[in-house]
Amino acid sequence: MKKVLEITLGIVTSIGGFLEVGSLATSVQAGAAFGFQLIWAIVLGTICLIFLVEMSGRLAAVSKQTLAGAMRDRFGYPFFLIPLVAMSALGLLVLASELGGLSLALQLLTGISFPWWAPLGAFAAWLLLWKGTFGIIEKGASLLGLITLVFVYAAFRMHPAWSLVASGIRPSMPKHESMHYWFIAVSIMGASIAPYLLYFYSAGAVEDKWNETDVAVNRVSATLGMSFGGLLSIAVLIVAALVFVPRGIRIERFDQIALMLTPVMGRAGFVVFACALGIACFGAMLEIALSVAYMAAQGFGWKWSEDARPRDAARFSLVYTATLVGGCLIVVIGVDPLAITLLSMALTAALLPVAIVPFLILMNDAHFVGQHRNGWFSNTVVCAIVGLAFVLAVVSIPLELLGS
Amino acid sequence: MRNINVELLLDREVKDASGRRAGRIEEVRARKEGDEIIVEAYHLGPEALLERLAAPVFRLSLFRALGLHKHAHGRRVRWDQLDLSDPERPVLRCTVDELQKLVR
Amino acid sequence: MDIAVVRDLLDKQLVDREGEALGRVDGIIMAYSADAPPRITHFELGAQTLARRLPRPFRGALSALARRLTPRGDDPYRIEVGRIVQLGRTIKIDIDGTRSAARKTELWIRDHVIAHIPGS
Repeated sequence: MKKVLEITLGIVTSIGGFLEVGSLATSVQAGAAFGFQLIWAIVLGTICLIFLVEMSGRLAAVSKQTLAGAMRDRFGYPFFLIPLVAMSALGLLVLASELGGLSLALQLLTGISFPWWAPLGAFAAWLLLWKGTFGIIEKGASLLGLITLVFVYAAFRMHPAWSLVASGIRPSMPKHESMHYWFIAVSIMGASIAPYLLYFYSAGAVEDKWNETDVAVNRVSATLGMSFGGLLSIAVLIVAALVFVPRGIRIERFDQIALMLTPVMGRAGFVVFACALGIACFGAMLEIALSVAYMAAQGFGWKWSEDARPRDAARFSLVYTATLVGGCLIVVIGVDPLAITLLSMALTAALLPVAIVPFLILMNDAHFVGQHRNGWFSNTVVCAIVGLAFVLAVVSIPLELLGS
Repeated sequence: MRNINVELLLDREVKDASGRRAGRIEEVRARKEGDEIIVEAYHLGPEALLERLAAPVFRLSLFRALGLHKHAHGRRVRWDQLDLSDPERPVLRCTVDELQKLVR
Repeated sequence: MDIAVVRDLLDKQLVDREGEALGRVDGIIMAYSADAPPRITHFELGAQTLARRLPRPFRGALSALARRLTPRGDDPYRIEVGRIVQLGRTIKIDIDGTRSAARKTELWIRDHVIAHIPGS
């Protein structure tokens, strides 16, 4: 029974954390502009994420420490501030884009113009964290998140040429708009390899008191869960390619993607899309706010349980509250949600080494993980993909910013 | 007798009386006896390369964090070989050569 | 028992008798005299201790900020080493965490911020 619940943790983290506004926007952009060509970026990102999430669970199970706690432990105090500040700033940006996505979803459903939805959405997320328990959030997010399966349904219903889809798995050079191609590729990888997922996953594993016997199940859970998320993104890309490319539509505004399910589902497709977007973004908001709070609390040694009442984990609760308020402010100021989404995804890719290099060092340190150290294969795969993402990001972000 | 913050000793350069550099403090070895923790020795890490880079404290932590120091030679300083009357300028009570080398 | 102070004590998580989080070892006090082996006497916790560990350029500004944020600007909190119950992945201290001054900041935030929000 416990094993089933653990696998659920993996899938929940995946739904709440994988198909959210970042992977949605980047997959749609990729499909609309380049057809099936960028599927390889989703595949690479997903593979890397599987390795990282598995490592995160293994670290928690064997060392009984969360990722953030282990980082403070191993690298000491001034150094810990670097990933803490970088990931918190990034988390704030990504949270703002999720809130923007949620606001858009509510706007689509009600027709009411969107800046007003942001404070409401942030408040709803805060209320759930304030009063809810980890269990409720897990189960709720996983049940509601199943609605994102509609993209898989739509992808099949549209009968793509599957051989063409398969050819997209092989990396290929762009035939037009090279800079935009690589920028989207980088954004996809940043959307897939979201560091906040790692902090969230390891905190959940420690709270569920995993131990060494859970290492094998964790491998299954991470693989299934993250693959599921990757397939969802690919489905979104396929639908976008089949809907937007034949019509020659360039995606420049968020609300353009709202119609992507209507060819398959008619008017209902509009409503379903809005619901799926809203639910996925809401789930991601909860995870991001918690991840930022986990990192601070675990790094500084405060009490950090989500199950505890706020008054029993005061500083922890304060941090996730402040994070939600901060994200809300960014949206309310009126920053363009699509732009901030794509940019924060690309920035994530650029900042990956800051989070991942210390993580890799931990996973190779017998003092922490004993005999469950990383093999050369895990190290190589992660280094290669993160290195690739970083190089692409550093090259393409400035050029994309200059170009636009 | 004075109180010294151990965490502030980290990465401080240790020299002998003639000004020769011995290394930077990277670990303090102690033993627990009942309720007491008694310091036995300090471990110094390599400094030559870093010295020339004039690395600020931050980058030294990174060097240590990367675990690279484990493959370099260090030196062991017994508690009685180090004069901490000025904690910001630790001085050896012996010469650098008299220190025990650490092979890791 | 052999201890590597930096690896095994510094920055480690502290827990109380019940296993509840007390904070992390932000600093370690050593009693030094020229003619006897130095002894580790206290663990030190707090924002001021952390601020002093930063590189020189950042130290001044953050130290002032830390003093401002600490309730009533008290000295950093110290725990005698004699109170250690167990050394391991975490350091267990013989303290009743609910009454300990180590939780001063936590309690201050609880009483002045969190308590004013309904449903806490």
